[in-house]
Amino acid sequence: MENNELEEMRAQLATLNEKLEKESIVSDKHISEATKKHISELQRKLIRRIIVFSVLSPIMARYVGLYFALWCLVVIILNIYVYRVVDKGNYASASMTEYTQSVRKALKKFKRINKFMWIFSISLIMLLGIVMFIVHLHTIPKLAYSAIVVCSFFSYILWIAYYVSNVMISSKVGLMLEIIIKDLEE
Amino acid sequence: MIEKEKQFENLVREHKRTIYTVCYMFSKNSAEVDDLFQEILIRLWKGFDSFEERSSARTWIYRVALNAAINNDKKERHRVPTVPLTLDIDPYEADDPSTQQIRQLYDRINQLDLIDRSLILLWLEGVTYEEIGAIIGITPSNVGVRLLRIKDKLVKMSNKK
Repeated sequence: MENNELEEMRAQLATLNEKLEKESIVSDKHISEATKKHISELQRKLIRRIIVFSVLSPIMARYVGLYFALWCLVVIILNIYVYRVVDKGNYASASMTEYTQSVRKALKKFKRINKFMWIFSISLIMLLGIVMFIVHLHTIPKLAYSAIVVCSFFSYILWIAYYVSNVMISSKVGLMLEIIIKDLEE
Repeated sequence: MIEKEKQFENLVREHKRTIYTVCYMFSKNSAEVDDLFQEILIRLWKGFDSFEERSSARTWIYRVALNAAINNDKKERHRVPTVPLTLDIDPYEADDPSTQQIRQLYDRINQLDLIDRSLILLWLEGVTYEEIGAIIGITPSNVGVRLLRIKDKLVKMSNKK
């Protein structure tokens, strides 16, 4: 294919475009669907998390302890923050460079917040285990050792969950955007 | 709200072909075109308030459409019921030689990476280097250099076959 062939294709494309101009393409239903309120999958996930932890928080405070209630509160606040970050910037109409960089920044921010939430949770559980161990060691040793074992086990599970959630955040979209950004920076 | 919707509708109908062309470039079949078209309309509506006419409507639409195409989340799109486009012709099935030639060119262009695909699409559409630069976010001279490289790539692809 030579350059003049590309020019020929351009001319043929103009012919196709003329045909397309005569087509209606867009119906009233397209417009009505587009103008409905839509929220993204990420926003849906965040709303579900906020609801779950809002219900969990008073139950935790009542039956488990203030530590877990505090943890729930922190999770709620962080998720509300991320929701606002995701909802706010409509950078979809930015140039491709700005758009990909903005999405990358938002992904990085989300990863940092996600990391903080997990580490906070794991630390809290370990701290709870250690406190229960110290408090009950001389009075109810069995409970003390069980507490440390159970809390360690849960921390281990949470570490695995954190690793998996981190991998999922570095999704195809994130990686693809990295490739585009690298290409634009060349 | 109704006035805003009316303005949005007029804008979309005026630039329907532009949006369709982007969908056609980034999709493998008519069903994907329908899905991507709808996704683009949703994004255009979301960003409609922030469209302050600093750039032309066409530039703005190209930006939103191309950003939607490169950030294509098929799983997310299937949450919204797809409305098929109203078309009498189907460029994927058309019999006439010119449409088939275009399809062959597009198949080759689809082998390029996303930026190159966007660049060549805009060039084929007759968009100026300045406008291409504004859409992609690179300088017009960079556009020229990249387009030369892309054309070379396409020539090599063609010669290999």
